[in-house]
Amino acid sequence: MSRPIGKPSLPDEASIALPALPKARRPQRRGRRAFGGSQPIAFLYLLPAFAFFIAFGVIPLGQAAFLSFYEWNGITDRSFTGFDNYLTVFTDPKIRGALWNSAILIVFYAFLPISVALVVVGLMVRVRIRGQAVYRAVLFLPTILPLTVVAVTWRWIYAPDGPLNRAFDAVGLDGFSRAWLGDFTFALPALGLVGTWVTFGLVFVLFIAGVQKISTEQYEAARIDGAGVVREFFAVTLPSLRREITVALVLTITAALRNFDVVFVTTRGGPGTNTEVPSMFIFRSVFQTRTVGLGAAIGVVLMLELLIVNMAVLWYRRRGEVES
Amino acid sequence: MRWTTGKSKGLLIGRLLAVALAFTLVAAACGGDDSDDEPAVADSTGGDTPAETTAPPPTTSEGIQTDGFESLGEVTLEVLAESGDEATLERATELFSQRYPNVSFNVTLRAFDDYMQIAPGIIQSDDPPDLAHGNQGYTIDGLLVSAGLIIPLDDYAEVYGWEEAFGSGTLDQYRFNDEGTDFGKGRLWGISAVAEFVGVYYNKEKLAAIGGELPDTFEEFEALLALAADAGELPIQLGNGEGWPALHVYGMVQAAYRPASEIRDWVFGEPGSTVLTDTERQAANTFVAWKDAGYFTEGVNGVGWDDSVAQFINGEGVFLIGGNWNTAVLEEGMGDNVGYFAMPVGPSGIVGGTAALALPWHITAKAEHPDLAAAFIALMMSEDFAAELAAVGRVPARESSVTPSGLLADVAAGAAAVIADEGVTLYADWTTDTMFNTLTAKTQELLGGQITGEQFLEDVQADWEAFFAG
Repeated sequence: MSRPIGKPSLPDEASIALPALPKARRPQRRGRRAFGGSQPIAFLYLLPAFAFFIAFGVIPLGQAAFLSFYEWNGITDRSFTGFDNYLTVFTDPKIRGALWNSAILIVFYAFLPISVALVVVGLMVRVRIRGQAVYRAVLFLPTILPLTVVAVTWRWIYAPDGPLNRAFDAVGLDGFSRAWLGDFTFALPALGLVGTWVTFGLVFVLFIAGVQKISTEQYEAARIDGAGVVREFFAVTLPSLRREITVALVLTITAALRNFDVVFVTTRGGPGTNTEVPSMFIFRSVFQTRTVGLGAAIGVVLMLELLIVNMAVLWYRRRGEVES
Repeated sequence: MRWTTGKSKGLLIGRLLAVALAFTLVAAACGGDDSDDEPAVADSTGGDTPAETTAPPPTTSEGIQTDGFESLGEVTLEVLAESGDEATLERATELFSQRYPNVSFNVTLRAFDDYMQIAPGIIQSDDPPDLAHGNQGYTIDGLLVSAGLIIPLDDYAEVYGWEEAFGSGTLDQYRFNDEGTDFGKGRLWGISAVAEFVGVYYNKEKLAAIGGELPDTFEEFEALLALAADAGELPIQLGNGEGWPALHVYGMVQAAYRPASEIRDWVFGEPGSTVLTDTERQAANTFVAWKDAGYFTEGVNGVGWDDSVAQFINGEGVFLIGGNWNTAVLEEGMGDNVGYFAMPVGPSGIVGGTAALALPWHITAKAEHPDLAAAFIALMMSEDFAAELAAVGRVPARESSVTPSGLLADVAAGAAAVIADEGVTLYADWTTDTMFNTLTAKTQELLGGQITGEQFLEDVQADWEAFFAG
């Protein structure tokens, strides 16, 4: 199974680490000269990484795109079927349902954590909290944990006799207790909240770093002009965080659409088909029903969806920059 | 995939470690010794010029060599196997190497899920193993046959008398036409000596506490469920998080109402077969009635199978309906307090239920010594080896001279009852390439109250029609 997704996010990942540094301290002049035309040998240094990118990124992607036009069981001869697989992707109600589920997961993986993090950061501008480094480290922890570990943990939390239900029982809310991951109404939101938990720390740390770059003069000016918490947030904090919000959106939307680990470990798409996601279908197509072409087609569609959504986010940010 | 997926899923990491360890040990025992020690052994027995010193190998009328493999000199049989057969293989390879010291084994084991994903690719490779497990149905066996990756075993079956030993009809699950497109008919492509039965485990103390006795009919079994519910006990412990555990329960109800031969025809794709019959509807309605009566674990779709087995061991539930591969875990956890019986006879008139032979052994098309590989399989199929199978906790598909003890005795008795009535109904998920996914999703929807029994049957039949129409 090829994973063509993820590559576009590399430059953004690099920039996560950077915002914490004050910009002025970066040795920018030297860096600029090294990448200028005067030393073409610099491109040689890119060669190893580029070779890896070709071998493990571009070639598998090309193979997947190629296979998506064939019917193939992975063993015997394949036969060319044109756009049949793509037709199936867009007409099979089960696959369409999975694509729809992944759209819902974007709400939980991207919009929810970003909204909450913005509110918290907006409040933190007013109230200075001691020991921020500790909070940052703790909140960032979910991001660095392997997703399978996260999924196993949450499967336990959501279990019928797990901590969540016991907490409900303890405060007399027995009526809320249920087998969350087996519930036709709550399974998908429950999985979505796992995603929220995972991405919140990343988003939050990103925003804190962004806020620290805002000069205190801006806040003082806003306060002298009589701005309250809300006004200050929309006039100063939010516009200054535009870059960080873009990065956060690209990373979290990618995480939402490529979601496989959490679903595979917790529900495998169940109950029924309520938590099916496209990557589960890729897995099933390739390894269970052995319709490799269909799996490849779903992969290509998923990659295009990712590209389009992320390009829309980036385009929106550029437009905003031009305006301001 | 078949529903036995779950047996290898429990304690996955532990199992993987065990497999890795076992593989290392086997590799060390076979591979390592091969290169260092065995040339010396060969010298001492004069085996370096085998062609001149040994008599020509005995052959049968079909030209199949069944004996005298000493003449091959030093050979290694490469075996790719699902880890459920680990103990079986240890015993079988030991016995075979005692008979033929010149034959050594290189065994690679993988857990079930993993195995079914990678095995076709390995069998297709330029250097495939000589022997490998497959899986009944279109997704694995049908694929291997259609690609010409395995050889038919009909001649071996005749020479070794497998059809007489196991019953010709029993082996239909290993038959395909030469194109791999028609399941259940045609030549024989694989075989296993191990039987896998789904049956009813019960907690002896709980059953006694509710004043119940072992049921003689399906009706009596249903009465016990009501009795348990009235006593405040959970009648049937069931975790259906994976979707397939409920199929086992449904399979027992199905066989209670519907003739087993009809169910088998449906699995084999006999034209005109359908689950939209009166008896099947009765089964589906009964299953739904059990759900509505609260006979299953609360939050049934949110509990994993392994967790439900653990709960049963902890005393939650009077009955547990599952495959006999759960026997070892249950006996270890409950000791004498657990018993087993085949689902007693219902309106169908026979004792039936979900059951089949285990994963088939295949000989690959590129195997260098197919006769030798077949001889090794024959050892595992033999009457003598049936006792060995029982000793490692597996249920032999043919009678054995050794009477099992403990829980395994119950299991063997239950299996015998089903075999005697020809009540084996096979695994419904073999039927089409997508049936496993259809059935797992649909049982969850049925137990979640999303669909009715009638809708369940219609959806399942729709998958059947789509596959056999095209």
